[in-house]
Amino acid sequence: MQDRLLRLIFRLMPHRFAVQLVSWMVTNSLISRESTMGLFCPSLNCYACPAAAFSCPVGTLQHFVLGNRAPLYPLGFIGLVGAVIGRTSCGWFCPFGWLQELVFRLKVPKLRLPNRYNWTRYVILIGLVFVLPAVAKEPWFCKICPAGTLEAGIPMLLLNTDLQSLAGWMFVLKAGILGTLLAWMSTTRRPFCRWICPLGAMWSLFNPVSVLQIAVDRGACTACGMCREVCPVDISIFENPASGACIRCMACVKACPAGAIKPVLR
Amino acid sequence: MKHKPLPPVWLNRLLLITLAAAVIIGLWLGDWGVTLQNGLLLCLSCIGIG
Repeated sequence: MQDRLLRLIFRLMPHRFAVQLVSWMVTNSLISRESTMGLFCPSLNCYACPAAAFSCPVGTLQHFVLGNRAPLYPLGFIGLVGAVIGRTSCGWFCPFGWLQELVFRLKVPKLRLPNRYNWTRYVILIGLVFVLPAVAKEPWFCKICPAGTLEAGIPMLLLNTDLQSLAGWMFVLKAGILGTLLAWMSTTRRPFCRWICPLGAMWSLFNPVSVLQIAVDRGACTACGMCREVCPVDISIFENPASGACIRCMACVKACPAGAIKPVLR
Repeated sequence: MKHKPLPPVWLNRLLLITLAAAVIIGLWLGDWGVTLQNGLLLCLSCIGIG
């Protein structure tokens, strides 16, 4: 079973960008919304996007909280995905993660930032997804979400000219956040995933307990640092294979010259 | 470098069962309809318009 998984990952690895592209196309496939909007996509994808086919788990979670409804279905879904594959969705299925990797390919000076302040995403998760929606009865993470601006706000304004007069300071703020993030994405690897994303924060908690794990053979590992060179979130996986920051993209599995890094199922 | 041991496998299985139960109970309580309705309603203020 594990050998088969390893073979599958090795076969898929060169095509991760294609998998991300297909995932983006499926989640925004314009298929009948009436039959599929009750389902979640395993990624941050704004369901206000005119082409969205599935609900965003974070958006729905906030609406459950602000409506004083126990979020059993959204939290159960997020937890189930996390308990099986950890943060794999971030690395393989999230359209916004894919965008960050695309923008990072721009030939501009790069900035290497340490991951030690990535607790900020838990502050955003607790503050903007749970506390503020419960108190203010507004989905506050959606209001600042750059994925929503890109996938829904801008397309809606372009498609419906009547809405343009309604776009006020809030839209300017959202566009400013998106613009700042796009600039940051071009210099730093996946900044949104590392310091902001509340969905990634929830899945991070499951990385140490998920079925899918990454194992590092300590005897074979030479700590050469090649894993960090290829890592989209800039971590050295040999230091902590169950790290909550790891998005399970498996780039290190392929890149390790000693073959010391392997995906395993528990 | 010594790695921190992973939590036991039974914890993962317990989590899987608990979370699957949460999804089933949520669906039984009508969460599907709420999610569907929420997804179909276009919240303009959520995307910064209006």
